[in-house]
Amino acid sequence: MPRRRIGVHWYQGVPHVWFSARDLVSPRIRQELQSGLRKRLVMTIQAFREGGGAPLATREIACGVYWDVWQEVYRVRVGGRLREEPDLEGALERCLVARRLPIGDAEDYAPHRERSIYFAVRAEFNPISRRQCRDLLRPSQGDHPIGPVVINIVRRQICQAERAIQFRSPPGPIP
Amino acid sequence: MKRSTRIERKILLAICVVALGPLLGAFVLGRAAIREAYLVGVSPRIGEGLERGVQVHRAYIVALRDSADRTIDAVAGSHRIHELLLGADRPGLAAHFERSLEVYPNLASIRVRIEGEWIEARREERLDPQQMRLLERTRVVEDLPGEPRLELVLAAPRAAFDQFQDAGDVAELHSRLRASSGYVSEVYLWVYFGLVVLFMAVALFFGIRLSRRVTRRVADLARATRKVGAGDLTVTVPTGATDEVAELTSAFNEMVRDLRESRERIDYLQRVGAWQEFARRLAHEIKNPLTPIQLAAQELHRSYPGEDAVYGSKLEEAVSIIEEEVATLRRLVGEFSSFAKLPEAILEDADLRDLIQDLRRAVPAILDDVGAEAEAVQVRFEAPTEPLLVRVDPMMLKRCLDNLLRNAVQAVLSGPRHGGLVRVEVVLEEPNVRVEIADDGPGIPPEDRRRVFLPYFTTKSEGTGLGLAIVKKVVFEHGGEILCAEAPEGGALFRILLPWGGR
Repeated sequence: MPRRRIGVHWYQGVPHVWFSARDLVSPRIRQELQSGLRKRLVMTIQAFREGGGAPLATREIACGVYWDVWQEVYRVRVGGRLREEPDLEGALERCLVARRLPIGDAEDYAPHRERSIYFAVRAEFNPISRRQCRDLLRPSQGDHPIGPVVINIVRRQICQAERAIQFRSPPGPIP
Repeated sequence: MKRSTRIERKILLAICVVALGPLLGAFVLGRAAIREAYLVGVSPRIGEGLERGVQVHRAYIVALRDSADRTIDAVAGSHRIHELLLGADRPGLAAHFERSLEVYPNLASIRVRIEGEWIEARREERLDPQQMRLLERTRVVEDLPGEPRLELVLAAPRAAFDQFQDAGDVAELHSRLRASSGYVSEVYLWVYFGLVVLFMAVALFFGIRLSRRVTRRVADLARATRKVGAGDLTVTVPTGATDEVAELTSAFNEMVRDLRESRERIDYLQRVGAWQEFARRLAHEIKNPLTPIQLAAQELHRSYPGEDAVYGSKLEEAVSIIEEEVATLRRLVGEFSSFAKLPEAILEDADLRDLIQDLRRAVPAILDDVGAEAEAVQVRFEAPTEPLLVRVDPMMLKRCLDNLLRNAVQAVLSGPRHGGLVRVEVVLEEPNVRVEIADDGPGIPPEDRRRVFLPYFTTKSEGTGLGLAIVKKVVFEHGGEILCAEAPEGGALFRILLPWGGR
């Protein structure tokens, strides 16, 4: 996984990170974001101990973005909040740039004090959510037993992100 | 796991060959069929159609938006509205606004504030945010005093936007499915193949179990056959299920039983033959000196003049003993001789009921012979009314039955009650006729029940032990069987099975 500078500030035992994943957006993706159709931008940030193992903490930021042809603004839904951005740059800034983003709770890190950890980021364009994928791929109930088996396997492939980038931070100790 | 037998491996190989051939064919054909079928569903033409549908939806929304802009321009820029605003004609403005709502269907409300008072017209049904998307716009009429602000709300059906998004989702999914067509059809194929392998495994599992059930029994039969070949005729193989192997096993058991019985029969007849030869020689050797012994003793007695009364008495007693013993020996020799000279059975068709009838008639004589009073022994006969055809030597068989009945009468007389019941029963039990002679006497101990048929074995003080041996030999020569058991009445039971001659 390529390394990239990720700013980390520890506050009350919790790391707050900042970084940008705007390079996820290629010209083609930019075009798709301007189409007026809903698209998803998802960032998953995980803290790992150097040397591997299960993640210590995980944070996911899922953004729904579309160009509102009617009102001519970008609509960005992050979590349950709907915002308006006048241009695409503003929408990307909100979805793909982390500023002092807390990752996990202090309890996640306390047992590993002074150990070296790193943060891994995966940014994805338009992964289809599990629910939506289920609804789209099998809107009617099939009655053959082979159906669900195949659909479950196919979903994993079909609903993958159209584009994804991954990077990690250099290791640093937990204070 | 138990090592498989050769026949088992052959059966499994046959299952695999028979099943795998068509399955491989189905796999090859199925692969092409699945791929083609899938490509029909995700053909580029459908994708293009969906994409065009999305574009149409988008164009419609853009048109709605353009229409909204034109409505704003038309309403806010109308000459009439300028006049009314200039004249601050409130009723005229209100009427004009209402007319505008009628003329422009996408106009949901319009209002203006004149000297602190709102003049407004609105259509509530066009302002429902659940059904409509609203666009609020304000136009300042700059060339009029006070620069009044016209506030307009434009509406477009929300369904158009939702349909646009739905069409986009479907088109995107189709595009993804098309991009992954190879993968998806491969998944279908491999899942199909996996299920086929699973079914094969299940079929093989049951095939192994089924074939093992058969081959195990065949192997048991083979083992038993080897034992029989080595001379062990006591082998029996469990038959188990009701199939051809069970029939084979049953036939095998029957064959071994027949062999065993034949061998026992041959052994017995050989033994009896040897004893007959022995009896013949014994009779010959004993019989010859008996007459000279008896004559010599009589001569000795006759030639004594009788001077000494005491000696004369002793001589008379000695001669009497000699004559008595010679008579006993003569009787024994007679029995040995008749045992040695047992004739071969000459078989002919006969109704067994006739023999039983003859036996019934002989009962008083038998009772008389053994010194029984008629009231002391009750002899009961039970026989069917239909003829019981058997192939026998009537004289020999009658003699056997007479012997057994005589033994039974003697047995009940030797009991504590000095009498009792003797039952003679004849029953057809296809393919045999069963003859039973049972009594309620003291019975025969289990350890003696086989030995009673051996020559010279007897439990009676004056018996020669030849009677039952002769009976068994005769029964064997008739192709029958005889056994000794405990009677339901408590005494001894002799059961004879003779081949039934049919109706």
